[in-house]
Amino acid sequence: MKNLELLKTLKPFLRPYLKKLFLVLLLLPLSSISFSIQPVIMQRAIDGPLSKGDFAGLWVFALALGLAVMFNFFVQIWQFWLVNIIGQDLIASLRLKIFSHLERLPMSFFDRTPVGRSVSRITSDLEQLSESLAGGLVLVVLDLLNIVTILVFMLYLSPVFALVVSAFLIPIYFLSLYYQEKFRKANLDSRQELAKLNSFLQQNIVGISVVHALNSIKKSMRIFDDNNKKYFQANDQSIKADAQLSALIELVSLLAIVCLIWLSLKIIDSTIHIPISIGIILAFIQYTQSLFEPIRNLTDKFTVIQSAFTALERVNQILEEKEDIFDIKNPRKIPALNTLENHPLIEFKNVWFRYSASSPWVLENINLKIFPGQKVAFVGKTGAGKTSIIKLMTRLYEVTSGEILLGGINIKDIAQDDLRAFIGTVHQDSYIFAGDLLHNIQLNRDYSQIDWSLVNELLSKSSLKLETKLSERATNISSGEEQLINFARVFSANPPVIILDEASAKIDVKTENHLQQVLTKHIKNKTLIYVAHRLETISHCDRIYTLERGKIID
Amino acid sequence: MLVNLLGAYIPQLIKTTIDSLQDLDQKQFVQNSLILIVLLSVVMAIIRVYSRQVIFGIGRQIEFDLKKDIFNHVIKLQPSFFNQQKTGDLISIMSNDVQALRGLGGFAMLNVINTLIAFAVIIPLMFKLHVTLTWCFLALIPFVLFFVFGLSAQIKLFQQKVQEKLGEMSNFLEANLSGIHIVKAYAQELSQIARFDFFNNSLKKDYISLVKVRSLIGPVMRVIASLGFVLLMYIGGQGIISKSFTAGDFAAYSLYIQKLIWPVATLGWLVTIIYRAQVSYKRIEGILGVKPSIYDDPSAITKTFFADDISVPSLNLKIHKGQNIAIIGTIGSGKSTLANKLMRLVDTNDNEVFIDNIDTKKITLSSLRSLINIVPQENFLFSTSIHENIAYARDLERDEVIRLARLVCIHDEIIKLPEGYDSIVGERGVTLSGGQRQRLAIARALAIDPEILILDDALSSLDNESCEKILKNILDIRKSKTTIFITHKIKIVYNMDLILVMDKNQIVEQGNHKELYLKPNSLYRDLLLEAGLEGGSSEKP
Repeated sequence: MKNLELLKTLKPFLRPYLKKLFLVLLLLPLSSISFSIQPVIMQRAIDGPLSKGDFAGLWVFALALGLAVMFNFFVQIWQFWLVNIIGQDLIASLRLKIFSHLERLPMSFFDRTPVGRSVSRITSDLEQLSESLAGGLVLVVLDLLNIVTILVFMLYLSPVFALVVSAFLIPIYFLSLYYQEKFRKANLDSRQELAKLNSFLQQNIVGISVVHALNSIKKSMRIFDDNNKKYFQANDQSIKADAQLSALIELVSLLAIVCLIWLSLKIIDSTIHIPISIGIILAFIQYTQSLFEPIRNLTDKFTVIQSAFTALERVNQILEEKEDIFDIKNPRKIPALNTLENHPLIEFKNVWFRYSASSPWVLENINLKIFPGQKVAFVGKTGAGKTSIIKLMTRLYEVTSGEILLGGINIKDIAQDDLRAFIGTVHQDSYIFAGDLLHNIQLNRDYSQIDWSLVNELLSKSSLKLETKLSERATNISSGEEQLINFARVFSANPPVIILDEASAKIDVKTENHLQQVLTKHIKNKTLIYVAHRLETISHCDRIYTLERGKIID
Repeated sequence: MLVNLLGAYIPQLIKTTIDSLQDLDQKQFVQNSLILIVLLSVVMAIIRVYSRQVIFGIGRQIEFDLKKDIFNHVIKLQPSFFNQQKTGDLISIMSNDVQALRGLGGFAMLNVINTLIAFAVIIPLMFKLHVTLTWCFLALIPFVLFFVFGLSAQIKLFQQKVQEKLGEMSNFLEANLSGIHIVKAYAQELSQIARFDFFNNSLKKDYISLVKVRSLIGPVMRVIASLGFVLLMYIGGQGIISKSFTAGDFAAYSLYIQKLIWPVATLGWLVTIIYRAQVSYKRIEGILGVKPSIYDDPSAITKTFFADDISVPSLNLKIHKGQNIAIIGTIGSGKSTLANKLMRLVDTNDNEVFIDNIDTKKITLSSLRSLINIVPQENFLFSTSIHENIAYARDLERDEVIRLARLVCIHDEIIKLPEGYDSIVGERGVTLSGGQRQRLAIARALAIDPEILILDDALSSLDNESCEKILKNILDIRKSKTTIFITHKIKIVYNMDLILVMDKNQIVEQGNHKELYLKPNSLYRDLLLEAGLEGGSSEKP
């Protein structure tokens, strides 16, 4: 079954816990036996001392029962503790694994997956798993084990009765199968609708200024309402199935008891000859309740367990996404600039690129050479492919065919971290992390690696200070200031190559001039690559490549 | 309720049948009783199905209503609220916390009703069977309650901690995943993973504490029930010996104990749910209690406008209907703020902004915002199709959408995409270039075509040729309407009827290009020259 496959994916995570798991496995049968033996003790008591009027003997049996109960109690607690600790550890490892995996996925994944969905995977899907895995799954195993031990004891007491009661297990088994499938589907539907709903919420919050600016509050409310209704309906299905199953099981258990009594009647009537006693009848009534109770619990837990498997399935989907840009085993180092002599620093050889096999070509047969210290610009109409060239240069995407060389080495052979430390990019949009400005510029590079005097120079004309606290969406600073931070991040680390991707689009003229002033001396020996619209900014470049529909025409 | 009554009656029947087993004369009676039991069981099952559906349905209805209320409330809050309030936290409230309340309304309610009725019906019956035994059994209950309430405080505490940690983790994830291209650009993956691990471990610790305490409840409940059986055996057993207690009584009693186990056993679980729901309720209340900082004054009137004159006396600003305006100035000079104030996206003071000589604060927000719209600086597009994005504020047919796309010179590029207008846009429009996103945003605004439209730096990513074309189209179709451009592009500024030069939140100069350029010491001229305009003062477009 698919569920088994899903459980198998957890196997590697369980390795560190083998000892603890072994202990749990030991405790399980102990707890189960100490539970199932109790009606037998009762039967012995009823048919023994009670029928003989032996008070003292009764006392012994009561003690035995009491001991079994207390033993069961302590074993159960120990068991649950162990299992829960393992479970939580497991979930935490899973969370980390998913996040690590996510961080390394290629940009194409993020282009097609809304943030809300990924967040929901790691938080609510895994929380679902954590709630139900340790508790739910283990209780299920315990219940199943109880059923087995009960059957064993029943056979021991009276094979015929045991067979009669077991016969009732058959319809229950088939009912459970039928409903389990129903649950699974209903659950998947419902979680999908929920993810959609959350995603819509997230988008509307991120874009709330647009929603207000375009006066579309009512429309958003309407769409949300529609999706909410769909979610509600999806849930209806699972409620129905749940209610039906639990009622049916209770019915069956009562029918089983009726059967037992009827059978007893026949025996006493002497039409059937089987050993029987009051003790056995009473014990079996108890067993019937105990037998069907775990099954009823199982179905009560169905929803919970189903959600666990659904969550596991969705989590696996992420883990199955592939990282598609890898570092090779022994990445080569970028040669020092002074060894290049007259060779180009960056070279494109017959590069073709498109985002996927089904999308149109973005770049066609690009050939170019950029020499150290050159100032180069890419211009062209919007959509001509300029930003794509940049993304390829830093290997955020892989060329579809052709090669890109850095210092004569194919960039695929260079470690990505080295590549991106060598080529810094100032984007046209920025992202600010929560924290102070210093952190946002340093970004976990070493403090000593950053040229702080340059940073201070850059910030000198704005109201920003290194201690200024910034927030995620950075709307407490203007977009011009965001760009300043972008520049500070890149330039202060002194990379030999800097790409400016329409970096001045959102800055006003005065600030742009300030930037130029401060940075002129710093860019003397650097290789600069501009992507721009405004010819004014790039008039000083050594070489301008004009792109049109993916081809260089100048 | 009926279910429970029937459930209580059936064991009585069973008792009598068992007792009657001994007596051969009662054979017919036993058989009749058995048939009766079967019938009653079936009826009980049917009723149970419906009652469960109804009760769980209530829980889901609560969930539906809460989600709706929260969304409708939150969407009206001012954008600046969402800087402080983290998005991830809000999503957590909307899903996890609402779910907790659903659990309360559905499952918990079912449980409480079951338990109360079960006790009310069954206990008296138990007394009828054997007084001493029942008292002993009841004596166990206070221990249960004591234990349960003692644990609940612990559970509540840990529950709160877990929920907080989950919220923090959501926030971090939200931030990280939105800025993933920056993370990659600076090769920060490892450090982000380390940071995540910090949240992760902290969450794990709290979860383990929670789960340890929670797992105590089940076994304790079960042990109470089992001790009940020990009592039954000992005391009931004595009764059997002394013939005051029959086998049938014994059977019925054991059935009753079984019937009470489930409600009592899940009482503990119930406690967790209630506490969780309490915490969630507070969080939801917190959100619903936030008042929008920009709201309609109770006396605000709905208005349709005619002359559409805007005036901001404190800035000495008067704009007439149909004018094309440009606002320029250095960073932070207050251009966007002014634009937002016109539309009350940033709140204004009394008597600060007037339209048709009426204070905008005295007009309902909805009538104000049907008059004026802004294309904001940030080009946010929804994760739906291009068609739906353009048609976002108005439901439009395809040919209308195409017309608008042509106006912003993007139609040719869209039809080249494999799915054309039905192509889905990535959350921030990532699969589209900056210029393409901007044009879509403009098309979206043109779909509304409000009387007054403000474009805040909305053509910044366009090359000169596209910019000119699109500008011309905008002005053409909006001939009689007011259009305001906040820009740094000289090509736009040239053609405007009125140019406002801002500095430090004031309008320091206003006029048309010629007037401003020729003024001595004009800031306007400085700004133009800094932009590298060739040719000097006599240059005309």
